[in-house]
Amino acid sequence: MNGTSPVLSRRTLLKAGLLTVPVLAGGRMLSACLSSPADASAMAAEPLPEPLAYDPSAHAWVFVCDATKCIGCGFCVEACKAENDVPIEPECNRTWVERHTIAEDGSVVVESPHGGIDGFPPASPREDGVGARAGEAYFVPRLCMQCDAPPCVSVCPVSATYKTEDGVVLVDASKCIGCGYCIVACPYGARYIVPAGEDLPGGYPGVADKCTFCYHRTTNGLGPACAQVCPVGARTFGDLNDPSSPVVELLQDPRIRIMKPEQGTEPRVYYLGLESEVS
Amino acid sequence: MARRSLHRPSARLVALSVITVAVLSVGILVVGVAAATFYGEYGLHPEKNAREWAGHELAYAAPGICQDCHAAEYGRQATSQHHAIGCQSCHGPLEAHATDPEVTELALQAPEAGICAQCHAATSGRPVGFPQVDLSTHFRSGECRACHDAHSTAVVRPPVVSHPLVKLPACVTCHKPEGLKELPTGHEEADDPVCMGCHAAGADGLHGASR
Repeated sequence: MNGTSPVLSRRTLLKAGLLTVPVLAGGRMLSACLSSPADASAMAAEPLPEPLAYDPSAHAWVFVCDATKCIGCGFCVEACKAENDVPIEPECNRTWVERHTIAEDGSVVVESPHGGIDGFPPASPREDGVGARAGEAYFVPRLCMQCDAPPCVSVCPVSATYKTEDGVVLVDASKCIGCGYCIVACPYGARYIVPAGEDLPGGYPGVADKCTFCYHRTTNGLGPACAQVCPVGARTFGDLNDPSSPVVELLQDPRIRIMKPEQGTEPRVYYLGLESEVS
Repeated sequence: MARRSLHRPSARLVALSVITVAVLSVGILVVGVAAATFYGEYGLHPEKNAREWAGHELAYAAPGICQDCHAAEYGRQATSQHHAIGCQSCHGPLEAHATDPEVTELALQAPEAGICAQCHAATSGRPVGFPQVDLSTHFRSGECRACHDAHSTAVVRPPVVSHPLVKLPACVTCHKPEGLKELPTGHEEADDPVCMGCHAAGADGLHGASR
């Protein structure tokens, strides 16, 4: 008995081991089968577009802001807030407008009262009065640069923020832990933390949020709300893969600039008439 | 017996290793297949989230959709200087109205008068050549639609009365005789009967009742 007992136990072990495989596999498949239809029906209840109607790899979205056209009316800021349920707090903006006033001494005054949502005061403030009258001023539409080398994606410790194939940087609110690294990393100040309130991305307060190029519009054949409402055509959105897109011609303009090229972020938002830089 | 007992531990180890590797491989394979099936429709995690972003509700309707029902107004607007501006720039987000015409609350709301000033008030930084007015001196400032129609190029100019320059009263020192106010900043009523016969402050505080 002493000699056979270990042999039996080894056989038992082998049998048990071999049994584990189908049991595990079956369990996994069963759970997958059970959870799949439930999950699919839950998704179908939401107003999602046809899942395969839009092919992200077929598009390369870019955005051109023309500072020589912008009048600082703030329609874009208002439209963005309405379209994307952006909190009304002045520090929460997916897009905003700045007025850059270049004084005679070369210094630049930048202002953006409430993101420019209500427009701007008639005159640029200049407390010391230097060059206040002779200064040259212009408006700069601002939004997330949708960088191809996004620092915010690099620093996110939980991979909540990511780059889509069509060139947009998005945030998965269900993964975001609200650490704020991305807000510090962004050289353009394009991100904010969503305060507690009614309109929360994915229902989560305290997560990072930013411009999505109105992903729900662009994936459905519409342009971003800010570009649509702009009364002077200062914001042009388009697809680099589409030769008939107006952005293709705009990008041929020798005046085209990107913001902070030294950061190596490879922005997808381009500027015309950008004469000064600001953080 | 002594020989078997010598070999047994290594044989057991090999068997255990083989079983462990087999179980793990099959297990990983199965889980992988199950996960692919689970997310198959929407892709793996980030794409699934991208689909959620793509499913956000619209607030602004597609441009041009307004003309389906409002063809007349749309056609008139097309002849105005505002022809390149979409309806919703001034009228606000109207997807709810466009999908269900019964939802009229937003659509019926005419833009406030201040909306004209948001673009046309003289403001530092606006491009040279963009039509701007100084609200502090503009005639009937804040009542834009009394003279201007945003949907057409028609402008009802304030009436201009040609004054015979027979007796030049004191008022003409500051106010031009052509009828338009050169300096509208309020001052005490003058007593010159030639001017004040018509230009005594009326109910609107601007002009006399008879012009």
